[in-house]
Amino acid sequence: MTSADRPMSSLIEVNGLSASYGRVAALKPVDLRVEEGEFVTILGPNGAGKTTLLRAISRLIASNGQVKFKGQDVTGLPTHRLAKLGVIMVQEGRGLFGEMTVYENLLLGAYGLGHRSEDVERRFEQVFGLFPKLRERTKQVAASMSGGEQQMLAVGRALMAGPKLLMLDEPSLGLAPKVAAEILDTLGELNSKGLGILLVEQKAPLALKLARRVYVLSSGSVRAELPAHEIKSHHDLARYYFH
Amino acid sequence: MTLRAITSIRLGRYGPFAVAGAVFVALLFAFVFIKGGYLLTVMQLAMIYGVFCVGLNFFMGYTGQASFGQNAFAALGGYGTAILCVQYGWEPLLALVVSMAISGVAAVLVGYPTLRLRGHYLAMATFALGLITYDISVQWQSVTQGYMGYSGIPPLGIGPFTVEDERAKLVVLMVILLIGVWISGRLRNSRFGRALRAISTSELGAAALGIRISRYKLAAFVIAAVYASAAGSLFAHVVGFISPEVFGLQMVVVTFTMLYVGGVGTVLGPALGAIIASLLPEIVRSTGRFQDIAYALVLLLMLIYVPKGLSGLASIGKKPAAAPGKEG
Repeated sequence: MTSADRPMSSLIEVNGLSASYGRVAALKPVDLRVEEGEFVTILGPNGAGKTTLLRAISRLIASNGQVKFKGQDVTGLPTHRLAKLGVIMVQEGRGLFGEMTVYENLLLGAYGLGHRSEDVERRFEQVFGLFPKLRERTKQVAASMSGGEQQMLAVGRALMAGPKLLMLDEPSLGLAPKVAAEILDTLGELNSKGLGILLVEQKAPLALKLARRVYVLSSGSVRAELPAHEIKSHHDLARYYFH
Repeated sequence: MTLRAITSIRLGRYGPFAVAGAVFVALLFAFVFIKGGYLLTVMQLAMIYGVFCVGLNFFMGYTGQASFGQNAFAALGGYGTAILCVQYGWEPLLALVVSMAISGVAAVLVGYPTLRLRGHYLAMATFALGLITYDISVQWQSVTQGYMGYSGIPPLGIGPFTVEDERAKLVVLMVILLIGVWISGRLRNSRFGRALRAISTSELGAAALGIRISRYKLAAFVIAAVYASAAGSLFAHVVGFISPEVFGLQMVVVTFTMLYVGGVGTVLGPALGAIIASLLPEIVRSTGRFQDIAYALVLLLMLIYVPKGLSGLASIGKKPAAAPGKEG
């Protein structure tokens, strides 16, 4: 069952979310929602406020506005509480702990599980099932891995946290097209199992193949919200994102 | 299994430099122990500084934060144990433990507001903490006896058993340092330690995984304070005398040097740095009036050619855990 076939209820709902860096308003009041098990993509040029939006949702930066998760008002909840609820973000540049091993990075992903070793083991098996390469490299230091492997690790680490909503900031950045496609295919597979995904991407053709809906961000505001398959019919957007 | 096979496994795990380093430190210790005299005192102080540095490493190494004020907690430990033993006749061990607890509480009270700062601001705030403590120890004469300091502090001991022999003191200090290093190693590779190291690499990354940054920074700060307090108390019991100068600015500079010479963020580095940086002035003493220049030159060369510290040499010749991945 694809995300398009499932009955929808709101997983996360953002109303009037804004954020600024000093006096510069990086994000003007933005409304956004992701339904349960939905795959949503945010497109936009550099400086559009895409990263700021994800960081504001996960409270990595201070913001104004309302955020609801599964109908519950989580506005102002600190990042660690959001992470416990299942709002997990994979940061741009992967945010790996480079001097730690693959195993240690994955263990940190399961930080919220505490010392429940059986749950941790089960999550390890799930991640290794998706990314068999990681199993072979558990003792390898993360910084010594290739870009693609690092991205697998970043996604794997996020999955160790047992996310309900996985937010990814340009996971294909700096990767060879084939590797980027593999990563995005895996995200599609996860979404097909019911995981809500909010993806920030610049490589629109890849991201739109999986997404149900698209938000187009520009200068900190939402310029358009439309079903992914309709974007090609909007000539100005299609020209910008497909050429 | 042949001896060669056993040796290759050991070397594979630790690397030849690590084995050579361990043998060197053991021989050094044995030499000082047999020779005695002034070198014994130098080595005793190295052990005490080692305890301080192992603690400081929690905050500066594992967590990647800057603190120029841990000498304040060493002063708390030193004066705490001196006052409790000399004025109130407490048992040295009890005084040491109570002083550590007081320092831990003080670190919570000071750290809670201070650790909201970052980078240079945090460094300056902690630096001020050290200066304030120094001034208090000078000015609050009714409690600290000012520049006169405290003398007649009893040696370490439990009940009728006291450690008065210099060699025995060294052994006791070495055991305490080893326990400190062991705890540091265990914590580094625990869930707690991984969280600290994650904060050191990326605070945002760690927070995104649900790690409570402020709580962990405070915990590392408190641990560093407790270690520093223990070092201050040990100094008081081993030397028998303390004054404000003992816990002054020089302590900050010396312990920083030790931490970076040994290898900040590593388990063994702080202890190794304390030993090497303490003995180095004795080694270069033969250069006479050039000894300060020689000391500085050796330190400079170490920082240039061994930027990760002496414990970084341990990885030379060590087998990699796995082949690096391809580009892609």
